[in-house]
Amino acid sequence: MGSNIHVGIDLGTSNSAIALFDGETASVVANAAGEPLTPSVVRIDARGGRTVGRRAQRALDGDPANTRGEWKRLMGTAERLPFESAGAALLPEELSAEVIKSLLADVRDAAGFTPRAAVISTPALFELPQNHATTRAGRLAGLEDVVLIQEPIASAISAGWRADQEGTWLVFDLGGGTLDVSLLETTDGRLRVLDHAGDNFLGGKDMDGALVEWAAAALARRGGDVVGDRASARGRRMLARLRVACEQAKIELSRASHAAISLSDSARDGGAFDLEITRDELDVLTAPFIARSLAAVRVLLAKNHRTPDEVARVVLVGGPTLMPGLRARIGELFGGHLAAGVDPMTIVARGAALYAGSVGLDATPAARAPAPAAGLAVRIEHPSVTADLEPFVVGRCLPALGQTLPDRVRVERDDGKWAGAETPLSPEGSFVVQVRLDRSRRNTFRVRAFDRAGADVKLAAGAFSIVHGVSIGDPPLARAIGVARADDSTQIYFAKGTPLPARRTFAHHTVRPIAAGSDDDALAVPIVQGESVRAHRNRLIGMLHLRGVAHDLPAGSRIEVTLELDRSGQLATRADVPGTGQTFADVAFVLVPTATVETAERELASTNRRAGDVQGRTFQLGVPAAVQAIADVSALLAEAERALPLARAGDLDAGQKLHRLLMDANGALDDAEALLEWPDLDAEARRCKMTYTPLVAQWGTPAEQQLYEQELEAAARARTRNDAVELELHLDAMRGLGRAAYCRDPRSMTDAIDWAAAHVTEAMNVAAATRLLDRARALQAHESLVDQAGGGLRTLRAIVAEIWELFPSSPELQAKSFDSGIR
Amino acid sequence: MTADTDDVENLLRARLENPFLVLEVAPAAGGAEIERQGQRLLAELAAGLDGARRYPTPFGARARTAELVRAAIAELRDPARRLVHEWWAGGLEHAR
Amino acid sequence: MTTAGATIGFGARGSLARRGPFLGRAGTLAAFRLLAWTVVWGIVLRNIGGSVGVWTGGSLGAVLSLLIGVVIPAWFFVVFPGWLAFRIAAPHGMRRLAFAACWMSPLVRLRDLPGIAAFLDVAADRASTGWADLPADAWTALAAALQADRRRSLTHAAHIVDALAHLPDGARFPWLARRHGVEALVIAAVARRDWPAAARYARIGQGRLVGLLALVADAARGGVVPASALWLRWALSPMRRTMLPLVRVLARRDRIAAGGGATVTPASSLHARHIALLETAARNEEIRAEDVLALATAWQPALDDAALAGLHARALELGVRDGAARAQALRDQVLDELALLLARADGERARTPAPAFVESLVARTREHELAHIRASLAAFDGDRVAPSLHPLAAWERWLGLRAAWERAEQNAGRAALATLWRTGVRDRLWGYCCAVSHVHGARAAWASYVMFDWLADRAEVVGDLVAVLANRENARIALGHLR
Repeated sequence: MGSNIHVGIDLGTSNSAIALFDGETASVVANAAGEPLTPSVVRIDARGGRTVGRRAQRALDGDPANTRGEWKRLMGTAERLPFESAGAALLPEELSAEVIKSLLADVRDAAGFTPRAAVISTPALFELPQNHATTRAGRLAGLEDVVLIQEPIASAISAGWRADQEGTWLVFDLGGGTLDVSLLETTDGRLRVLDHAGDNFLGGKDMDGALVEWAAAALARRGGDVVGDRASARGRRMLARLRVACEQAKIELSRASHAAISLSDSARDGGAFDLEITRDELDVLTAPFIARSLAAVRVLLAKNHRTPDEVARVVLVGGPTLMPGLRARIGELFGGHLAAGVDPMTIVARGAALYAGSVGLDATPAARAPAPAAGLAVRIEHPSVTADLEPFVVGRCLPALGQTLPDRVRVERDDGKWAGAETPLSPEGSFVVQVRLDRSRRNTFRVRAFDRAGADVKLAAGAFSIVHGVSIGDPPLARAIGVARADDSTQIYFAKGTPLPARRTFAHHTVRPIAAGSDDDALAVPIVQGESVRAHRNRLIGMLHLRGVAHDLPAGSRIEVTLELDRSGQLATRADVPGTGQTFADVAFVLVPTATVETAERELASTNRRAGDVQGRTFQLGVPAAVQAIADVSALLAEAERALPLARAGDLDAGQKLHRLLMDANGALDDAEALLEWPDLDAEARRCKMTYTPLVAQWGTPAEQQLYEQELEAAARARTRNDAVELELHLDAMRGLGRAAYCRDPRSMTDAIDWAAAHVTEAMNVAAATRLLDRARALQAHESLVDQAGGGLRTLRAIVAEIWELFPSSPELQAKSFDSGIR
Repeated sequence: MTADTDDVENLLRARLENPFLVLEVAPAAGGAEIERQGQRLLAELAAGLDGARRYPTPFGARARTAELVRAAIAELRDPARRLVHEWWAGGLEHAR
Repeated sequence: MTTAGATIGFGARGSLARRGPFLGRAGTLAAFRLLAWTVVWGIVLRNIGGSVGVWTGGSLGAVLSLLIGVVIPAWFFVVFPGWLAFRIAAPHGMRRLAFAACWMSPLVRLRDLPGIAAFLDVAADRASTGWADLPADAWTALAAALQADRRRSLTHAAHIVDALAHLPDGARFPWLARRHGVEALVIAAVARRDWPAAARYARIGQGRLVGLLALVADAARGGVVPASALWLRWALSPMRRTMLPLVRVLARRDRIAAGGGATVTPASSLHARHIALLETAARNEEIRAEDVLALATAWQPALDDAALAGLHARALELGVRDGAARAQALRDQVLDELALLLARADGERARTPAPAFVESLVARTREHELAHIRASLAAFDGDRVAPSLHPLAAWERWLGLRAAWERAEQNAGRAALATLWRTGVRDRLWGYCCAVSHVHGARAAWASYVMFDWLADRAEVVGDLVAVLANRENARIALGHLR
């Protein structure tokens, strides 16, 4: 490590921070105002001048049209936030880049150099497009190298990197806009993430929102509607002022039992307002949000078969965790095992810097690097941070022209308390040495080389450092990534928890033929992120297109798809077609979808209907597990109903939140439906028996009747054993035999023709369907349909089959699988 | 059947990329030994040592990459996944 | 689409008065071809006669010049055009010469020429024009197999080859196709050292080169092949220079690394045997049902309750929270993998009482097979067989279902198959075959004949007499169109 400096950045919703790690300590860099935290606020004035931080924050209420904050939840979307006076509209990552630039400038002022590389923290539940946007923000700010780390891991590293704390941890990170709850474990100095949970739309901002609503209502009761029309410019300004005042009051209530929400007199808007709020009142207002956050904690613990008693330490991260009410509730749950001496506001930035050290991400620019010394070049590979007290170090001497390899090497610790034995070099000039570390500190070593005669051979860079601390694995992937198949299933490439970087290849086969030289979207391979086995329940994050194939590819052609994900959240995708030598790498990355409000409204209505149906079946069938699965659905839909009017009013954040809530609600309904499958199947089995038994008895052939009896018996056995697969098999057979018998009933033809006539407008070729219906009707009128052996019935059946051909089948499946062309 | 061939290939790869085989440690190895060996292999691969590039299996030597080593370390840190890998590796150890 | 119960009609053969000009285009071509043969043969015979006359007249040099310069090439062109087309012209990319040589060959029917042209294009990895107008026949099937093999869709290629190996009597598989067409397929497999595929393809081929390649594949897979046999076949086969290094190595009993596969060591543990079977299956080699069932029997004591309890104990030591469930999941994982292997295995599964684990395995495999057939049927359900669906593509689509059904026939039991037959396969497939015949007519005759014949056989197995009779009749009609 030498004199390397490592930089970590916490890019928060409300505040951001930057820290440096020099191998011994991680320290936060203060900004120009001397504060460790820089508000994540950007202002652009009419001349295009950009202000970041506290100064910009002060303009939030006075000049909201040109000042933006709290855009983190919009990362990865294509939403541009307008700055009226400057006539500019910036993407969320461009705003984040401004904040990062400001932080890097603070480092330049403090340390004398502008960092070239940094680790940036992201919420654990950020999806790929959001991570991608964060990396892009770093690059836009001038960083050459960006590595991402999840915030809970950064927090855990910061809280426990000295490797003297073993056991299960919980990191409770409640920031301005997101909740991240992570369960971790330290065993023998190795830190491991067990699981994540959280909510990308729950944070201090929401509590502020509740407080704002309360304050606006209280002020209105006192003296009229202070805010007025929220869509107007004055309304937005008043709202912004009220929000700032509420946030200040909330912070004040962390120290005092009551605080004032004050709006100073403004000539433009008129009036001064003062409102008092007590801590108890705040606790009441924030209780639903705290309850929701604790519910996430309980679910996480239950999923991992842990109880609160087994959690040795709880690390609180984020400004809202300073709220006494929240701390009290968490303390109650965990018997008071809250980690002490931890600054929740800067813990993430410190942890990110420590992580940068552990992966050897040097922030010093090349110009600052010391000139290479004279001597034999040697490359030394070693862990930067390890919990192992006797790690291996591998080195390789690289002699230049005219230089010879040394005979042996010896590694010595700089403090003189340890030296290794002399180790001979291999013929390729390499050596493997096991060194000994001094516990919980940075250990510096030097490699000494000797020739055959025992004389020293000068090495160009024989020094290296290893820090003894907690051993951190590669950051695990928070949500599974895979590929959608044509049957709406998902082929998982990277399961949740896969360490990054990672690369996987799977073979697939095309479902459609592709003509050579086709220019259009010949075949699409959709890339999705999420845990559901059904593709349409996962989020689409990219689309790999196979365009311009050089050879005809018949349906069923093999294609090998490779996904590669690195630590900075970059996903590379490739499809190889064996035998043709062609590789396709044309990937369009999908941004977080900004569903229109109208679409969301329709989806909310249909989800409400679906929820009603599932709830009805759940209570009717009395399945306890399903009741539990849908317990949250009502709350999610109620939250969605509340977000809808805000989304309609143009709140982009509310729009994103609405989309996410609907996905979560439908996911819960999917789980409930899966649990209802057996009772449904059992009911279906009873229905089949009642429906088809008389049909087969009356119209079935002797062979069919015999087969039906066998299937009936087999179905009964399957029901006794609760074997769903076997029961489905036999029900299929019963349905088929029943339908075959039904088709012999002359009345069945009449029913089919009547149905087709009633739905003729849905046919793909209405004219053809009408002609066929006319023929069928004519035949019906003239032929005797009682005679089963008569040719007329056969012809009629043939006509009806042709009519069925004209009605579409399964357009839903095509849409659900994102129109996937592979299986 | 076509999908089955892919499944068989994927299963075979999963078996032959058993973390204990990749890291060349015994199924009874402790966590510290696994970590140490993993870090050593990563360092050797980074240094370009030829000996680190392949690992033996009862079915022939296979290519070893840094990604495979990192994935192996992560797999064995999870006790539930270690249980399965240990069971398979233990059986293969008897075959040697 | 015509439904079940129908017999196909390719259109009644009308009277001559309704048929138009006397010969039609095909007849004209055939007549022209006959004329060309007559002329060329006449010239050749005259030249030979002339050469003999000159020789007896004493001018040896003039004779030799005539023979070498004119007679011998013309003789080869006429007598061995197949050799010229497939040994000289096609390998050197001279497509037109190859096509002309085939046209001149008395061994090639006119109706085969478009298929041969398409095959030559695929062999040269060139885009084939006019594919949409081609019939489905043995040549185009081989072209599809070659293409599938190149694209590494090996299972699909295997399905095509298996179907070609079991053609009903009357379905033409021309000698040139068996010889030269199959050669290209086997050579493609040998080039990537895929010995199981090479051996599989060689089974449907004929000729000296195919024979040599089959022997090479056998030897490379560890079969006992005397060096003398290898050398003898090599000496008699074409492409000797190309094959020499390979034959030399095999004759010395050196092991050749198979393309991408690892060598298999003698397996002594259950786990190793299990993985060895997976490896065999992954290399597309044949595995036997009895081997899989024997392995499953051996697994039973290692996965019984006592063994799982031990695993549970180890899980507790490791700190796994749901050890019992994990142990059970491991057992299910092994069962699923064995079911995957058994579904691919050849050979009968013994019906004698078996241990519970094996019974579960057999039941699970049966479910998979039947589910697979049901899933394959989806491609035929509501199928709008339009002119855009090429008859060969329609036939290829049927191959998957054919393979799945025949496998299930071996193992799933007559009752289950009879149920499946009556509740979906019969009507859908029958209607599908009729639709293909109706839409494409004579172009689909070969494919239709093969499919109808297969349907009739399946109907016979399940005892559906009506379907047997109707589809035999359909097959007869399709066969008539082939002749």
